[in-house]
Amino acid sequence: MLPGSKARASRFLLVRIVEVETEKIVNAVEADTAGILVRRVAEEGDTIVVGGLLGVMAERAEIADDSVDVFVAEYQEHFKSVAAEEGTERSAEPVDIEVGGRKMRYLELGSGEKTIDGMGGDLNGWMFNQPALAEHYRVLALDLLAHGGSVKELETGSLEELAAAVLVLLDAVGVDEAHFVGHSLGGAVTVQLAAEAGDRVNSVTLIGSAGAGTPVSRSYIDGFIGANRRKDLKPILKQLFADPELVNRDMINDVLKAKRLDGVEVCWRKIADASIFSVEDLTPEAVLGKLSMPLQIIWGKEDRVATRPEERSMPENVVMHVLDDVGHMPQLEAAGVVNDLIKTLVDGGNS
Amino acid sequence: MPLKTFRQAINDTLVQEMQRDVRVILIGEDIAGGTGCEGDGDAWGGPLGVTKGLISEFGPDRVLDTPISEAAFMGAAVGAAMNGLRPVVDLMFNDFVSVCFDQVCNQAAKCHYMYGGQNSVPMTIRANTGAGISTAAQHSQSLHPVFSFFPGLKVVVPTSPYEAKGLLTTAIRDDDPVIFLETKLLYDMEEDVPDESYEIPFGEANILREGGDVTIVAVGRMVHVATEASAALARKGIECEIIDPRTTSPLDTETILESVEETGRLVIVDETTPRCNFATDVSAMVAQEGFAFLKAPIRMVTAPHTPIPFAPNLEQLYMPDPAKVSAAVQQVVGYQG
Repeated sequence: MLPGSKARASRFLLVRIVEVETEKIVNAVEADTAGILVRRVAEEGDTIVVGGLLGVMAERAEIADDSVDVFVAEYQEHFKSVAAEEGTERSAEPVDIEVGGRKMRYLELGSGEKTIDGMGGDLNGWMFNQPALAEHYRVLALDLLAHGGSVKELETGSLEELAAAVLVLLDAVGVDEAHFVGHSLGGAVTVQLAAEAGDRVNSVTLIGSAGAGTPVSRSYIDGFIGANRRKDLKPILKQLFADPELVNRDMINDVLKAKRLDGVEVCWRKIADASIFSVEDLTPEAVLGKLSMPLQIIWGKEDRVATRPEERSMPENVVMHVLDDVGHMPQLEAAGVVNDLIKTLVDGGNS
Repeated sequence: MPLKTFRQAINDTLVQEMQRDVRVILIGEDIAGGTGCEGDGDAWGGPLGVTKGLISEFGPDRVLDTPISEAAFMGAAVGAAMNGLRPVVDLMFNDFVSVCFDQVCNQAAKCHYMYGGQNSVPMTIRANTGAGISTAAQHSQSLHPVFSFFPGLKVVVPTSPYEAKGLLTTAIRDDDPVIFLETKLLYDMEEDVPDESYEIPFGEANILREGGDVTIVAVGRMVHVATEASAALARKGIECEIIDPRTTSPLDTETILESVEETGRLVIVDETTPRCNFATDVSAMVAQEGFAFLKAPIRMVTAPHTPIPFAPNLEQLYMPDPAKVSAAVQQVVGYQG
C-alpha cells in the first residue's frame, strides 16, 4: 500500500497493508482503523518483530512531517522496552486436560468478561481470529473430540456426544456462559449446544456451518476422510478455498499428520454418519428458528463444501452475511471481516 | 507436541507396538543388560541406547537378548514370523547382514513368493547405517541399495524423529519383511513427535521444499545435507525442490518424475559408494522415463568408490556435504548444451 492511500476500515472492504505468509496459509494484514497512510516505516525485505511499526496512518493527509517523526520515535522507544519485557515470557501453549476420563485440548488467550469459544478442524484453524479477538475478550479455542490434540476415541460420534464434551470442558475451566463461534462441524456442535444449553450461550456465530439445515458435500467428506496420501488429499483441500492456490505444502502435511494418527479415520467416519449426514434433512427454520440468543451466519459465496442456504430460507432471528471471493474457510480467507462481525455481535448482543 | 530425539521416537514406537500387539517381540544381540550395568534389568539398550528399558517393561520372553550369532537369531526370527509372531530384529550395524545374508535375502525375502502365498514373513529388521562417527569401514556403510536389490524386501530410510516413528509403526504392522535403517548421525536429532501412534505409508515421497529450478532427490541424512545446500543456493537465486523418497523400495517414481518434469534438472545425493546404488537407480529411471523433461545431464553426488576411512578428517572428506551438493546443482543449472 502506498503512502497517501486511504484506508477505510469498513466491514466489507479488505484493506490489505501487507501480505503475511505463514506455514499454513498466505493472508493479508488489514488496517483496523480508518485513515490515510502518511508514512511507510518498514520497507520491503525488512524483518519486523511482531507488534513492530509498519507505517503511520493519520486522519488527514496534510499532517506535519515532524509530528510523524516524533510519533515514530516515541513508538519505537516504547516498543523496544515492551518487547524486551515480553521477550522473557513464553507464548501461550495449548493445554491438555482430562475431562470425564477423556483428554481434550484447548488454547486460552486474552482476558475480559466475555468469553468466546470457537471450534473447528483443530484449534490452529483460528490462528487469525483468536489473537485478534483476544485483544478484547477471553477467547478459548478447543479441539473437538477426535480432533487436533483431543482424544481419538468416540462412542457414537453424535452431536450430543461432541457437545456434551464441550460443556464438560467449559465446566472444567470455569466458564459458565460464552459467546460461541463454530465453523463447519463445529457449527453443528454449536447449534446443538444452543438448543440444549441455551442459558450458557450468549450468542452464536456459525461459519460455513454443518447442521444448520443445509447439506454438506458427501463427496468432499468421503474424499477427505479416505485420502491418506498427499496426491489424493491435495485436490480435496483445494475445494476448501475460493483461491485453491492457498493450499500449500505445509498445510497438506499438517492435515496428513492429523489424519495419520491411530483412530482418526474410524472416529471421523462415525462423526460424518452420526453428526453430518444424519442432520442434513432438517431445514434452517427447524434448527435455528427456535433459538432465542443473537444469531448470525457467515458464508463464503464460493463455498463448495457446505451448501450455502438461500438467505430467504433463514428464519427471522438469523442475520446472514455472504462474503464474496471466499470459500469454506472465511475465518482464514477473510479473517478481518469475520473478526469484525464476531466483535460486533458480541459487543451488541451482551453489552 | 513433545520434542523427542530420533532414538526416543524409535524407543516409544517399540513400546507402543509391543503394548498394542502381544505378537510383537524383540530379538537381537546386546538389546538388554550389557557392560557396566547393574543387574540384567537395567538395560544398556544396544550400543546406541535405542532399546533401553524395554526388558524391564516386557521381560525376557518378549525381549530376547542373544549371543553374537546373527545367522542364528535372524533365522529364528524368520521362523517365528512364519509361525505367527511379529519379530523386530536388531541387527545393530547394517554391515552385519553379510553374516546372515541367506536368512534375510534368500529366506525372508522369498518365502511368501516361494510358498505360493501360504505364509508371510511379518518381520522388521532394524539396523544402524551410515558414516560419520569413525566406526571404520566395516561398521559405516550405507547398504540401502543392497537391500533394495531384492524383491520381497521393503526398505525404509527415515530422516527425522517424526518420520521414524510413523514409518517404524507401518513397518511393524506390515505383513512383509521390512529393513528399517537408522542413520547413526540422526540419533540425537530432536523434533516434535506426537505421543499417539500413527502410520506413514510406504512408497510415498515427502517433498521437503518446493522449488522450480532443480530437483534434488536424497535419502536418509543426505536430505538434511541437501536442505542446507538449498538454503545457500536460494540466496544465489536457485530454487531447489527436495524429495525424500522415505522408502527406497517401494520407490515413489511418480513424485520424482513429476518434479523433474517441472524443473528439468536432477541431482541425486546418496552417501553410498557410486556403483549400483540408489543414485544410479533413480538416475536410470529418470533417464528412461523422463528423458524428454531433462534440460541438463543428471548429476550424482555420492561417496568415492573406496572403503570408508576411519580417520575423522578423511571420513568427512569421504561423505557428500553441502558444498558438494551446491557445486553439482550449480553445474546442472549452468549447463549449456
